[in-house]
Amino acid sequence: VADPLELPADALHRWTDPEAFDFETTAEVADPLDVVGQERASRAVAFGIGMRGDGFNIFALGPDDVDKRTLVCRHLDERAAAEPPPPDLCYVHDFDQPHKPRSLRLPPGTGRRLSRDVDALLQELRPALEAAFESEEYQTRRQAVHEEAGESQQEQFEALGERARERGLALIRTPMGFVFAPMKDGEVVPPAELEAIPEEEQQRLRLAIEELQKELQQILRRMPRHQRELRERVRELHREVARLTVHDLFEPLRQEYADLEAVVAHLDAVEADVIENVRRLLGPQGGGDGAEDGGAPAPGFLGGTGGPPSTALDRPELRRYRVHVVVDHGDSKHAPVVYQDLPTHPNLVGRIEYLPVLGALVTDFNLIKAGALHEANGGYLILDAVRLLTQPFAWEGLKRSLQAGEVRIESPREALGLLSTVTLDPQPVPLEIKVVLLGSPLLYYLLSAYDPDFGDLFRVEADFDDRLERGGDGERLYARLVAGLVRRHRLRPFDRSAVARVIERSARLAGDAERLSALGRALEELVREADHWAAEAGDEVVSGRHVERAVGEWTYRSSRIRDRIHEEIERGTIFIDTGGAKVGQINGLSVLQLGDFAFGRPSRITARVRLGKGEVVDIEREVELAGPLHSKGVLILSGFLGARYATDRPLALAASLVFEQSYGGVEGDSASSAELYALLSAIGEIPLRQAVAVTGSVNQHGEVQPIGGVNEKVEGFFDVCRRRGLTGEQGVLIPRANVKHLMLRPDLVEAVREGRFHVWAVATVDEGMEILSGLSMGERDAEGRFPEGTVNRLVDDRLAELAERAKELLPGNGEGGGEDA
Amino acid sequence: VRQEPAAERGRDRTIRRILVALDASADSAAALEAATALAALFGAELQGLYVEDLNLVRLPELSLVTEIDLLTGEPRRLLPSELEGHLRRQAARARRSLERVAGRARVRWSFRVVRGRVGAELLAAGGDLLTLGVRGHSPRRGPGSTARELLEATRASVLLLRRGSRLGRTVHAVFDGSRDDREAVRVAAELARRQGAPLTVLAKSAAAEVQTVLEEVLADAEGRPHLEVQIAPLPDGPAELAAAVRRQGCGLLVLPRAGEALDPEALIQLVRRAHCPVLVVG
Repeated sequence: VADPLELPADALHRWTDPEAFDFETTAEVADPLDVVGQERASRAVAFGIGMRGDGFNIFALGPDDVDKRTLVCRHLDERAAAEPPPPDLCYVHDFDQPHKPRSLRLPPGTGRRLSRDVDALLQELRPALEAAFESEEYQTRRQAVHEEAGESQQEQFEALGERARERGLALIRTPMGFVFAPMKDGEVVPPAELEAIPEEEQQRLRLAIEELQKELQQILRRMPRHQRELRERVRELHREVARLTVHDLFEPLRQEYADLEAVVAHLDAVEADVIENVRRLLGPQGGGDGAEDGGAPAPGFLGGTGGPPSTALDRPELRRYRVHVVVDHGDSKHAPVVYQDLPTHPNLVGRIEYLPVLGALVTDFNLIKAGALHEANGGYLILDAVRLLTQPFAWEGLKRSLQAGEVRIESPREALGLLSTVTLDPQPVPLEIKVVLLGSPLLYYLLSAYDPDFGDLFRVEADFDDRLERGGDGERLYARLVAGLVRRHRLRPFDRSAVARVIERSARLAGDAERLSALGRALEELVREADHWAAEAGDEVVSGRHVERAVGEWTYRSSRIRDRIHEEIERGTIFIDTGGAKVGQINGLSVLQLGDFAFGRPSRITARVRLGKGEVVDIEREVELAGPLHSKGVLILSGFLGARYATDRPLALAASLVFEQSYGGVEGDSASSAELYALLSAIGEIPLRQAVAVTGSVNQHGEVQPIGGVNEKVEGFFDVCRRRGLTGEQGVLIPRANVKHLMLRPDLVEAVREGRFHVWAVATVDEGMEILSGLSMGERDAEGRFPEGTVNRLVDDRLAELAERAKELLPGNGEGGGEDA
Repeated sequence: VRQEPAAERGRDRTIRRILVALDASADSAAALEAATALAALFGAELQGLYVEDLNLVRLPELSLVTEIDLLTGEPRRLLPSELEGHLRRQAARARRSLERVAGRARVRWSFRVVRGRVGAELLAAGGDLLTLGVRGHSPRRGPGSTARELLEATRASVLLLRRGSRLGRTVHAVFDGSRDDREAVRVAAELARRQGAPLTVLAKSAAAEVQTVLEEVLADAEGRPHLEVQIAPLPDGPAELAAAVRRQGCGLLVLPRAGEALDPEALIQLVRRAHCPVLVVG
């Protein structure tokens, strides 16, 4: 190739050499990887995990497609494996504060054991108590209490009856009360006989009756107190009997858990409560008539008023003695690592469930459910930041827990008054946890800026890169990553050529021949799709052509809009010249991004000039279709023109620039070099080759600066030209700084190799202008004049002419005067 | 071995008619349940009797008499209409419960209301077995003497029980050397057999004698189902007896009428304490 600026085919695509791999297929790769690169994030995560102390939680930030979780999990799993499992968490009833269940933290495995032991005890409790209350001893003593009481009353009645008898009267029970009636031979005296009794005798009877009635009234009045005393004595008897029975049941448990103070204290409290409420436990049938001391169930305990309890332990009178295991680490070998994929408020801080009982919602500590903070307490919790932030109250709940250093089970429903029923306030649990949030950089920076608590709570920033080095060990590591993916998803093995194609595709996705994409999702998609096409083809091993097929199919599926645009260009609906030469007209290149798919398209840029006062009018900007970066690029053009051609005279032109047939917004300065070429062409009336499209931004010194999406742009123009037929003239000008980014399609590379298409890399506008115009630029000579027939000369002359004209038409202009016409 | 008087031996002891005294109290409800169970067992007819106590009926006519209200303790005049109405309602209630309980057990039954002295009317009504609820120790109900009177006067068997006691399957018989003790064992054995339940004989005398009696009693029962019999010593005194049967979970205690230690007063104490129905035979 004669032209030193034209790039050889080999510079357009950096191939990966399959022979460099030391395996035939990925099945032979002994040490596959989950993660490659990410040194910075990895060190940050390791630091965050190792750093003890409040607030050293980790925010892992990186593009959404970067797999942050795998790396974080790997670090956490390693660390957690070396740490002991945290204590179990149980809730028990607090007998002093029934609405504040107490938490018990027990050595791992103990919670489950204790719960089982207590349940076994409770199963025995009722039979044991029943046996005690049916025993001869109890019955005898109870009988004695009753008889003693009964006899004393009976005696009173009998004494009264005796006194009545002495006076010829009898105490007779009537349906509603008692009467004293005169008796004769064991019979009430018939009325007729009574009237026959002398008045004196009748008077005596009347007085006796009155006297006896007063005594009877006194006995009746004393009766309630009597009953109360009797009840109290019976209750005391119950306590005594229960104490003896229950003590034997509880003692072995107390021995077994002697070294756990809290457990012993709870067992003591349960025992005391059982003794106090023994009648309730036995139910109304047990041990005699139950009406004596209230057999009503404990308020607030389930089933008290509801349907049949499912098991004996669910009975309301036993439920409150149970040990409710909320977090069980009995089977854990090490500290927990928990990923909560639905971080709602209740899933984080736990919740209290309710059961409907006769239309009312009721609850007790047995319905407390652990949240992720409980589960991960003493270990590590991983959460997705977006999900966390989109769940109502969840972010606030997490922050409050971390700030307070404890988890408190609170339902926002109650706070909002959405639920009005009796609820619980469980004792908070001390929190020792490391939280890792996974999120995008945008989220991280927004939180840092707007949430004052964020910085205090998430002090460790683990910043994930979206690309990694291709050079050095990069490709080999990447091959191991592919092997890891293949293994993880149980895919067919990839041979060397397939891995090489994957790596090339990854570089293309990174938009850089020297870098590889770290976007896990895209890589995973590619690998799995390649496997699919291998399966379709009936191949056991995935090879390069399957990867190419996957890329091709993916592109085809995504490229409807691109093809439509290119079609319209081909049909002449969108005006793009790909041959010949024109003044003031050039093909710029822009990139359109649709979802994951980006493609380039040529856009016609035109420039017109006339006499004016030095302003370059960007029509896009005038109609507010241009973004600020585009406007900036255009304004730089004036700087360049002024510095090169108008250091000693006014720039007496007015130029207008426009993206033809552009109806949407234009943003970016990647077209500024194209605009400058068009402008120079328009000023100097120099025809430009329409077979060459241009990209690159330009600075005031005329240097061409790199732009993004170079691959898509080159391919976009190539596709348009190919549809019309490659002439061998066509090509693209790219900034030299973009050469290292080139990862062009193989068919394009092939076309360049055959000389049917060209890619030129230019460092300055001058180099570009020479290619486009076929003229040389020309240097100023000693007198400051450009050589005849050069671009600069043509432009300079035209500008001089315009300046002259301006001087004639607009006197004062250029003399430094401020008078505008 | 004592000989039974010839007259006794010849007597027909089949229970055909069971009289139950009803006054709509908890005690009489227990009596009704037990009587119904026995009636079903023997295929006997149940005869309910409600006695309007003449003593009560007379009271309103006595100018001297005022009633002391049980709840308020206040005196007030006793009105004849009120009392009559009350008795009527109570009788209706008693009939209803008889109908219900007997109907459920598919036992033939009849019901009568009579006015008179309770004891006398019950005696006059006859029946092979009298069933009577004995008032517990509740002082408010006053001392009852009907049971006492009945025990003294009747020749029929008497089933006594207090509220809360039920007829159970295990049967105890007292064999104490008194006149009717063979009869007690015989009836108890019959009952036990009909229920397929074990029999316990509480014997005062030597086991050998009991054995003989049992053989005699059981000799009548050839071809009948097997009967399981235990012999235990008879405790001294009613209180000890009550404790013993209660401890052994006795479902029915059968006593000979002429039991020496059991005068009517002691019997009533026994019924109150034993927690099981007591059947007096002889």
